Amino acid sequence: MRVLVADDDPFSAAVMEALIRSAGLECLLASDGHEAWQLLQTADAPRIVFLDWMMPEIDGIELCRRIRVRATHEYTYVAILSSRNKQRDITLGFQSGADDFITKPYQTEEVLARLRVAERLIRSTGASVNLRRAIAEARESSGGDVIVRAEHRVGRIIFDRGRVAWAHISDEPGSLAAILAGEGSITREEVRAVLEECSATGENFADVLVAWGLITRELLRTVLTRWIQTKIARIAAFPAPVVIFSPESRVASSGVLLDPEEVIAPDLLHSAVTPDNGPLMVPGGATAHALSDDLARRIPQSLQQAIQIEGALSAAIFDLRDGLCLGARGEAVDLDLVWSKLRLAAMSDIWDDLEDIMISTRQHIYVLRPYTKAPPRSIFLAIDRATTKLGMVRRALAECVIA
Amino acid sequence: MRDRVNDEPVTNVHSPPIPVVDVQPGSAPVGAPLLDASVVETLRQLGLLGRLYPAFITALPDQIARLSAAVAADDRPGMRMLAHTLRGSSAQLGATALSEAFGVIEDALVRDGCSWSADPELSAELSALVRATTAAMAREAAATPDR
Repeated sequence: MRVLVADDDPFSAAVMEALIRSAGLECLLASDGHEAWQLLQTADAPRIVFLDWMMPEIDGIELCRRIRVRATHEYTYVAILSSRNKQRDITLGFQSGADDFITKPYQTEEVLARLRVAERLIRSTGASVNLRRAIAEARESSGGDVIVRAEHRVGRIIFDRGRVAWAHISDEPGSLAAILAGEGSITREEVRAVLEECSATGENFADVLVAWGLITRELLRTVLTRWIQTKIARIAAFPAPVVIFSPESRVASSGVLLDPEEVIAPDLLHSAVTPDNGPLMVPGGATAHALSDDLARRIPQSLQQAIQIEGALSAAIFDLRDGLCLGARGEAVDLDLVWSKLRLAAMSDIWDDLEDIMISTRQHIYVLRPYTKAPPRSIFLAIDRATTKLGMVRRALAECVIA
Repeated sequence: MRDRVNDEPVTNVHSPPIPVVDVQPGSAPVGAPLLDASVVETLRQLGLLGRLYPAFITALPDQIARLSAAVAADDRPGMRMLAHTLRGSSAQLGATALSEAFGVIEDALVRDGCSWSADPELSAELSALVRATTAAMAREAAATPDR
């Protein structure tokens, strides 16, 4: 995932760049608002953006407003960077449409934690429940296409016997011949000759390439993995997509099938947090923090206590620093939902004043409450709205926490 | 895309005369550390200290000269932007006292009706602070092996 840092101060930008790279993400730099805006117009614009408030040309607040009025672009996570730290400045930052506000000088751990929040949010906004369901269905099928459509763009992830054969986006180039020709080791003439051979004999394109010694199967696999990974990530980032799985049988043209885990982001391969009696990892590159022996004992007890609350459907405990789910009980929980609530909870200044956060839907009420304050962990409870007395639930949940 | 912070070696650092605004007596920073040890350590861990400190020391005189020019031209937006940038970059590099000093200038610029003057005493204080800070940075950079 790529992150854009727009800051006219090269020293602050260098520190932020180093932090971003240390998190394993790619970093682009822009030295003023105009340059940042140009980068945001490109087809593969970064979806996580850190904007310095005071910049030449276009300041960070104005840039954030412009980003928010773009209706046709994928959701962009925006954090305002500033040495201003007064409440009214922070409020103005959020009012401009920012998702986060980071004060200078940067604190390493804080920036890394916020980066992880941004990464999770971007992954979850692109990774719709429908897409994950379609991929799950495709994996179980004998073959077919996961079709993702956002307005005029159509992405296809082609499955063959539970494995990924190809990925394509309608308005982007993407023939295997073109990809291999772009690698430099195979000429267009050779690709053309192979295609003619395939046409004449009905042989598989990849098999002929390998048989003619034009490429090794290993290199072909590496090239395809990289290509398909990128395409699927872009398909997953389509804004507000319509998604279906269309079962059909076809012969994969590349002759190389890839395991879904090789080319699809982990959060797209898990439809929900599964009920589990043991510790459970949340997909998305979370990093575990060590738990004390006492806490490792307490968490299962707390979850057991929480799930026994009248009307409780699911209970889970999360580490807010990195999104690690420390355990869950009950029915499966939608990760998108949990993450959106966690993100709200991760705003520590909100936690300072609130005992818990409740979100109600037609059928459910979701309650979030600090589980431990330092380090910040949160307990999440989904309850059945029809059968529950809310006051009782809140009191009972309060008895489950350590904070 | 922007140029990266350069790696030019540090030689003699000359601080040009520092412009000052009318600030309240006692508003100059007192007691803040020249370099914040925790920031120094973080920069070292990130492998940035040996690169950013020399670059900052090299760039600082020019930045201050630009600030002086903005003052001379009564370019208020320019002054404020430069003071803000100097404040931010100093803070990011752990130069707490220097950051606060530039913060005093920026805050004075933000206030309505601030007037400009060349206060030799305060200017001398800031010049001394710049010299002390850059010397401390040079020492830290010299003590950090290249990475």
